[in-house]
Amino acid sequence: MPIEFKSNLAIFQDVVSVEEADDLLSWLQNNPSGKMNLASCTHLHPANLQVLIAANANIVKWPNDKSLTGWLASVLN
Amino acid sequence: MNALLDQFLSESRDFLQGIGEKLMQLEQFPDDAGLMNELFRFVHTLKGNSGLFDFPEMSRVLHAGEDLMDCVRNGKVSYSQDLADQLLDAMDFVGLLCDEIEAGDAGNTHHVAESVKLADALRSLIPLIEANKDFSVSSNSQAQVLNQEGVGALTVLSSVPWLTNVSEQALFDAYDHILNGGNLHAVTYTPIKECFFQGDDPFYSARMTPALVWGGIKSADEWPQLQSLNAYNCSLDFHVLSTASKETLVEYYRYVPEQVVVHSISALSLVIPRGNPNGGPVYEDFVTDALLHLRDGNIAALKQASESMLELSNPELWISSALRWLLKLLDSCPERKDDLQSLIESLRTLEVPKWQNLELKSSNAQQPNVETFVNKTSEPSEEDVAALKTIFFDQRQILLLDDEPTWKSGRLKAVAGTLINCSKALGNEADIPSIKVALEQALLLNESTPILAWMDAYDSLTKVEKVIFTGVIVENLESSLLVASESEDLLIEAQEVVVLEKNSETTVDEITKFGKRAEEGVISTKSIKVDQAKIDRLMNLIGEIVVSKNALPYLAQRAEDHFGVRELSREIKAQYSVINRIAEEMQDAIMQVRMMPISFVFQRFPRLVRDISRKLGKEVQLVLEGEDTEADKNIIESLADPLIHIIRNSLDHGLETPSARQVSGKHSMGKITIQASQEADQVIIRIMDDGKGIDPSVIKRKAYEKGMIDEVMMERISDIDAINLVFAAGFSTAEVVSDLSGRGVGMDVVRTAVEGVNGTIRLESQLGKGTSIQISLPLSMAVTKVMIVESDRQIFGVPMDHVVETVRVPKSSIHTIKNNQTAVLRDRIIPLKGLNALLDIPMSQLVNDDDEVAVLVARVGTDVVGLMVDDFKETMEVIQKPLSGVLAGLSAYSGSALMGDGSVLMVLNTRGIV
Repeated sequence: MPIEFKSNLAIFQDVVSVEEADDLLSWLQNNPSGKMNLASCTHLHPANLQVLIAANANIVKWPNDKSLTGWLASVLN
Repeated sequence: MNALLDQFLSESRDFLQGIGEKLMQLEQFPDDAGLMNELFRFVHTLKGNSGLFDFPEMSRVLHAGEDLMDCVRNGKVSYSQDLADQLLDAMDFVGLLCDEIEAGDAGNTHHVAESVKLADALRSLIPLIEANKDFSVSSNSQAQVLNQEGVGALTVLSSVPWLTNVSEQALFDAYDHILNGGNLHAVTYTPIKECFFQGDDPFYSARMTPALVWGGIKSADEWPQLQSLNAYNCSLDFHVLSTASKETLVEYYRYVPEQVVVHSISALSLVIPRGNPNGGPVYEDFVTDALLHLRDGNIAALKQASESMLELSNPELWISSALRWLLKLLDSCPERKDDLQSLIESLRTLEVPKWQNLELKSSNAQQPNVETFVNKTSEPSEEDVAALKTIFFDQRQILLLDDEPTWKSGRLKAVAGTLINCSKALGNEADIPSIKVALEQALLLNESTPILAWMDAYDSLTKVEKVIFTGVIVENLESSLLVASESEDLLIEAQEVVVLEKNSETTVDEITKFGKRAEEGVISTKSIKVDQAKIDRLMNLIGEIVVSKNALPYLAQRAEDHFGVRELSREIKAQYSVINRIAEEMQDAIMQVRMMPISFVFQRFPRLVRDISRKLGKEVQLVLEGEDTEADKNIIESLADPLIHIIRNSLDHGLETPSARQVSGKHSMGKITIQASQEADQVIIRIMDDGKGIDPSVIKRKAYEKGMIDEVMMERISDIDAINLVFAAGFSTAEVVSDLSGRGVGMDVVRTAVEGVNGTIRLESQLGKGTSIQISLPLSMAVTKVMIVESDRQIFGVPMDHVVETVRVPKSSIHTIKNNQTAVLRDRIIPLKGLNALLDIPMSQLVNDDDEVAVLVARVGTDVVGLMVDDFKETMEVIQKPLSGVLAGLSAYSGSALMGDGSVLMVLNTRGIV
């Protein structure tokens, strides 16, 4: 699974594809204060990104991939 | 170029031709629904075909054309002249692309902008309601507006507001890059809302932009509640700074040109101080000092003051950022005092300096007239002024060229025309007469000075030009400009300007180019399509030449024998050899025309094998070899069905399931090899699988059950003969009839089809190891090699394919077994049949002086039969014609041929007579 959902933490792995956006959205609807761990994420489809933006998600760990962090920081901060 | 692409190009030309014709017809009968439907079908098919290849420009235009035609067909748009023009333009464009693809020039990107424009022009004819429904119409207003402006899709002249989001360090790096002579482009990528549904990942595309320097995302300002969020509507913009060339970026974004805007970025526009204003502008002391230093040209002092000011300030402040930039500018271009001044002055307002305004402002200060100029005109925008500067610079360079070409007057007129157009564009109609006067003088003197003088006067009036000139033109540089741009003045402040006028000129060029194509009327293609009937006629004619040239040796013989003129006979023979050579070459050439590579048949197999193996749950690897082997078109076409049957059989009966294969120690993936090769005048096709093979005992039992062989036969028949029983009519080993095989028609049909083109088929199989089927086909059906035999003073032909050998058998060696004559030949018993007896000629076969019978051993299916004839004659190539009319029913003959001496040769069908 590209996103592993724990009780209050979503762990993003590798490439998170467009199919995950629905799951992510419904998980965030149920866990509005859920935390995001993007450390091992290498790319995420913009549909997921839009969910994160719209939910104003709490990102506890930014991607280790510095370039991805740069991109995400420009819109998630 | 592969065969598929070849075919596509040839078909596309036909379609384009067809579209052109239909449009012409529609002009006469605009209400003809049939024509309209046909036209739609052409465009639709062409678009579909283009989708097979990677030609986004072509597909884009055709897609727009298809949408438009669909509306026309449904009566939502009425047919009009305008519509036909647009469509013809678009089709000319597609034709142009086809030419380029054929010339091996595919994949270049200089048509992206045109394709977008043509597509937009086509779509603009579709009513708005329709357009909104269409996903491919950009819903992004910005991109739309830009396109409507008629500016090339990917380049516009305007500032890039999001540059302020770029980190200062990235801007510093980019600034250095430009100063080192690199270029910098800002890409604003606004994907359409529906792009996710089209499988796009715009974020990934943006991240992968070539030579990426900085990237950022801008989201919509407001987002709906999570409950009502539709995550699949893209509302993100992607911003990219890249050091790649414009061409590279255009190439990279060629699939979404309407969603992307690329700006050229100049070094100065990167100078964007930002940070905490800290209570507003309170640095007047510093500004006054700094300006003083600047005016005195004391760069070192200015630098020192700036450095100490920077040390005193919090690095987060706006002023610190501005000072960092100031120091950078002082390092890189201390001579640019105006720019330095405006940067220093920006500390008074804490606003990003407006570089282009700066130039105007300083002019204003010196030349009050300008104000009236500005007021008088419709206030040219910054872009206009920049563009105007570039144009003036260009024209000046052109005028200053010191060569004396014969077309100088044309050049002068062109310059004057450009100046007049500029004046018109700026609303300065009053200047036009003075330009005209200058032009007249210039033409009179044949010198450019009067126009230059006008330009000087204009400059001094407007001061548009006098500031150190900065234009570095991206495209279409005159060589002189290149030289000029090397001078130091031009190095910095490289406000890259794509001259609007140049753009429009190229577009005009392109349009005329399309127009010309229509006028030229002749589209040169490398291949022509010819009706097969015409080639058949050629084939027949060459056949007749072959026959009549064969009459010459007879004539030579007669000249010698009957008239005793040996000399003439020799000359006829010499002439014959010349005609013979030409005729043979001609025959060969015509055969070449009919030749097709076997890949035409092979092409469909990968898909077939994939589909069937999926259905059967088998893993199959298909290997195709010798696809470029060529053979006659008819032969190739006749092969298609038999091969499909054979491959289905191999997949269904031959190859085992992966598990069964593993049990028998084979790789779980089965392998089917189709091999084509040419051997002498035969095409050999082998279909091999490594499946379970055919068990001869099963075949024997089945054949016996079906009454095809008797018990004795079942005991005696060899394994190889047994497995070839599968070719017999009505034979099937499959227990269950499936949609794939088992109806008992397969192999029989295969054999008939192969034999129909004078081919032979042979099957070999090793139990557990696999099966191999070999099909031998003649290269061409047109010429048949026959052996001529004589019987009862008549001559007959026997196809050489069927001849095994010719022997003379002593009459004493012929034994009669149960009323059948036989002879032992090479340790085999061969049944002998008299040709006279078979043809019901009441004569016995003649023997030669040594009391030997001439026996022609012929292959009949899988059997071998000895045909007793009176004598053997030569072998020769004949054009065999099938029997027609009442003779068509005669199974004893496969056809007739005309001999060189005018006699008719009947070609025997050995299977039919034995």
